[in-house]
Amino acid sequence: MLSDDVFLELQGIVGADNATREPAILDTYAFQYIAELIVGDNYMGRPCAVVMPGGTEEVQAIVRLCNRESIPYKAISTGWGAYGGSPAPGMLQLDLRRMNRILQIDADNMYAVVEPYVVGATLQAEAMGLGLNCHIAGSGANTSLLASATSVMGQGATGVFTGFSNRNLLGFEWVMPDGELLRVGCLQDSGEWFTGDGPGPSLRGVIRGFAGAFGGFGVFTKCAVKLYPWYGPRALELTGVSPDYEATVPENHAVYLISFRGWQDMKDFGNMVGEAEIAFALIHTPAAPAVVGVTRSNKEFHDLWKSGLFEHMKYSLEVVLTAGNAEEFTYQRDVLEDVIKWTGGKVALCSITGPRYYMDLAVALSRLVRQAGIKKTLRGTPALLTYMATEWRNGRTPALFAKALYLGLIKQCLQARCVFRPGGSFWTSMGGLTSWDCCIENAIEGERIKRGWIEKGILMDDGAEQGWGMLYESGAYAHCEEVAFYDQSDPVCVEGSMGYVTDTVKATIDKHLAMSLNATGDPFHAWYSPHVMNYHHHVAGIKEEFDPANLSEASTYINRGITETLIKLIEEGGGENLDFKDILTLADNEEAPAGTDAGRPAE
Amino acid sequence: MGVEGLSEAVSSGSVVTQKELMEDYGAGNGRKGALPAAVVFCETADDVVGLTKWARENGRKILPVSSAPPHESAVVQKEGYVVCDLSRMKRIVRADRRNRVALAEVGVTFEELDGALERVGLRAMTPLAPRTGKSVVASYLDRTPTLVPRAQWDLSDPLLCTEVIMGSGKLFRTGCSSGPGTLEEQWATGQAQKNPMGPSAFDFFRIVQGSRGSMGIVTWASMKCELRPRVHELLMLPSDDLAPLIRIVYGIAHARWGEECLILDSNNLTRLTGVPGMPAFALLVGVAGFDYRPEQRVSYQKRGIEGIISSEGARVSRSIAGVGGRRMLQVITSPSDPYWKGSPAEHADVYFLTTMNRAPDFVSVIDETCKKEKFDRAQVGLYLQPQLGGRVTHFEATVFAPREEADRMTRALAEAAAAKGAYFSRPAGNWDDLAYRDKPLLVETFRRTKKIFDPDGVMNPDVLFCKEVV
Repeated sequence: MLSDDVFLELQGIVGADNATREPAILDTYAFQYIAELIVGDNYMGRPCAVVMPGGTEEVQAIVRLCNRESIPYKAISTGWGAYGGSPAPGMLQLDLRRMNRILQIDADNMYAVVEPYVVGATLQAEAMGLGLNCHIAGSGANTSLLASATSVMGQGATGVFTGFSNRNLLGFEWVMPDGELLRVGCLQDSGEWFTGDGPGPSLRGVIRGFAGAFGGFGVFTKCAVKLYPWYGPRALELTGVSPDYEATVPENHAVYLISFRGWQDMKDFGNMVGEAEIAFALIHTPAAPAVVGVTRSNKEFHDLWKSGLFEHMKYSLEVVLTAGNAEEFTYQRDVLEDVIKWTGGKVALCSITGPRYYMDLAVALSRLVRQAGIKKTLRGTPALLTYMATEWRNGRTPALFAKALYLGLIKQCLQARCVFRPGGSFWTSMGGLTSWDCCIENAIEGERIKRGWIEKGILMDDGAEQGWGMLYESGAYAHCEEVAFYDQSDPVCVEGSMGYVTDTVKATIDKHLAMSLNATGDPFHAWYSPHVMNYHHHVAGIKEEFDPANLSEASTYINRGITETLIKLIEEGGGENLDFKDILTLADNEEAPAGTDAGRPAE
Repeated sequence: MGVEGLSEAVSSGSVVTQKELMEDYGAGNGRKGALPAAVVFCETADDVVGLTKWARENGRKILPVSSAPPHESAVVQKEGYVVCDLSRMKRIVRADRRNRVALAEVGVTFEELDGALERVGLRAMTPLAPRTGKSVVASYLDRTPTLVPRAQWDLSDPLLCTEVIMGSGKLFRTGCSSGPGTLEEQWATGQAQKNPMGPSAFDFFRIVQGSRGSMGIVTWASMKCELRPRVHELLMLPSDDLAPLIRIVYGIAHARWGEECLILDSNNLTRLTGVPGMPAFALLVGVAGFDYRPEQRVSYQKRGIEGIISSEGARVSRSIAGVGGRRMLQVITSPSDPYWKGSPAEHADVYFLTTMNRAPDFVSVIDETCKKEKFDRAQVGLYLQPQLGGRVTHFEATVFAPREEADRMTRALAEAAAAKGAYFSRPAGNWDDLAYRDKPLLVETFRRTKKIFDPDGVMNPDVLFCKEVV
């Protein structure tokens, strides 16, 4: 409970209009995606208040006040789920939406300095005007760049050209858990932001890893992110009517949807295209979200999906080429065509049409028929033809689909539609950053596991294979996560989806398929850490050193006591027999409220 | 101080205490220093673990060394240290063409690695003409700039996963090599230790990198490699003026063309090639074709780069002072023996990060400081290395003079550069303290971080942020 005096003090820091204790407003912060998986309800713990600081000094003052009064706190910017909240009520929520400025774009040196509420779409639009572009994470163009760079993951469809958020972070400004302000990198010496490494070691390694602290390690108030060259127009030429937009594919750009005979061909193709350094994007979009993307309602989706044909389109990859001039584009296209040929690929959709591509499309369709079988094809064809005829009548030709695909990949603007609409909610699993070959192994294993949960009626039938995968840094590494749709209003589905994630986590451990992107928060640390060098000791060591009172809310970061209790319980109870729900229940029982050190081991 | 029990602590390593065999690690070559109490030649990670535990129990400090002598910065400064010499750890565990990754122990040198990589069609990312005997992993751990900015996605590149022994004596693996599974089990699923990040919510490799052994001792590392070029040419552009070269570098960086890309001044060009009469500056840009239509790649990139150059009214030279592109390429990419800068007694470096457009300011700083210090400007060599895809520039000034004089000048140059905003991201030499001056919170943050992983302060605790800040 926040005292009136403290609330008045908070109002004094941010202004009366920027602090509230109105329950209805507080609940809007507690109502979060996947809250039902964490607290068994759609609402996380209700915060004690919400404050909206306008700048770094205000953030600092709030964090200092929280330390003085032992109030747990967490900042969110654009937010994307329960990670932004706390399972326990009473936390002070810092909403950073007023800190929304692009502070600088250094076009020569290709970086931008942003505040927390700058989203990918905004920076991208500004950067494109200067012949540059930014990495937009898979959470979509409407999410915070700073949050992704400093605190949360960073996968994104254009990663083969624009990297991964962790590795795009340059200098940054950090209100440490105790309220001290640290400017990391060259900022203190020259006022510039071009690096966050050094002097000597890099504190980038303290604040985050493959995952991040998800708001559990102080507040990041400014950061610089790398920009990348953009060889397209200063603004994309958009057409269409909501919800269907397309972009003209500019000169020396192209988008391809390529179908393959099987996984091995996809492995070879990804490795070759990565090392050939020709692609702006290389991504495996599973069939179900792709069909969601081209339909306007769930009815349309289900009418089309029930044709039963699309689930056989799993062997496919999308590629975008962007070149600075015609000669480079010719090289990219020639190499891509070589690799398509070597790996038995067939172009199912392309922004460059011609007889060759229609022939390829015919072969791709015949493959689909072979994979689906004649009976299924005959059953499914009417629905498919009806859809195609309707679309064609409405002017939505294959060329238009290619333009829509291009827009979706360049601007990262279809995410929310593709993952939330079909089932109500979704969860994801697997997806460790590793080699492309191992990513495909993840997709294969993920499909096998998910099929079982679909057959139980727990997860939506999306054809089982739903690996969303892509390359990073010219194929230096990759990820492929296994997305699952579920109905968050149905307790049976909620519980079942936990079972699905448990199975995938166990598979990544037992089959050495790389630590999944789920490895954040105590229950997952408890699963993984004993198989991964007991890493939780070190992450917890960092957290405890810089936040001994554990006030920076860490439910998606780490609480040593909870993690170690869960590890012990798994060991004693037989880890194989405990599923994720059991662990969450145990975690609830062991939960040390933020702001106490009850979870810490005795010295 | 004795070293009782040390031999027993390192089962396969050998312990040396003879003074004449330990001089390489302390005073000498014009460097101040102290003699170590012992040198332990570790051959396995277990040896390093054993040594670390022994050091904790006996209140000793450890200086890790992995390159062959002469040692530049890895020199014992105070008495009581034990040197952990890893130069005998020379296994190249894996050279993986499909994943463009190598995994090598810390004693492997550039010349050794390159031989193994060549056999599978790869090449290592090299710094400018490293000295023979230089450890690849040590070079990468020091964030020494490599020559191909396009291939550098993070200043930590090309370093990927590492095996580290912390000051606590714990062995840890970073990035995806941490598990699940052993290396062999990971290879069986197609993994190749390619992702350096993590595990989970910290990047320990970033904390170890740049720490000069003060956060832990690395025994092996995986590293990004490049495809070995099928066709490889060097475009050379001499110029009396730095400004157009800078604009060209930006043009190339924004196009993401080219391989090697660096600017050297006449002094460094002469020292590298042994040929006098070099131009004031030269921009060197490699163009290569790999396994995919190599000639076509070289053709379009060469035409594009030449277009950028001609927009500045300049033209590529077939040779500079009689040195052709092929020879120059060989010189800058190959290990150098004898080392082109001479011995540590004959030179000293000062280097920092800036952006390419600020480079002329720092050239002026060099000119003015030499004048002020009455030092012959002709004895200072300049090397500008774009990094991180051209977003950052490594600015390096090498003072070619007897050590004492070189140290005096590098200190003066560093002070002057610091006043203009130079960022000493890799503190070294007698100017390392400048990196931490007026940054008490940063120093304290580093010290607290060290304490987490090295609670007793056994890992090289008299360098960097551990030193008293003047």
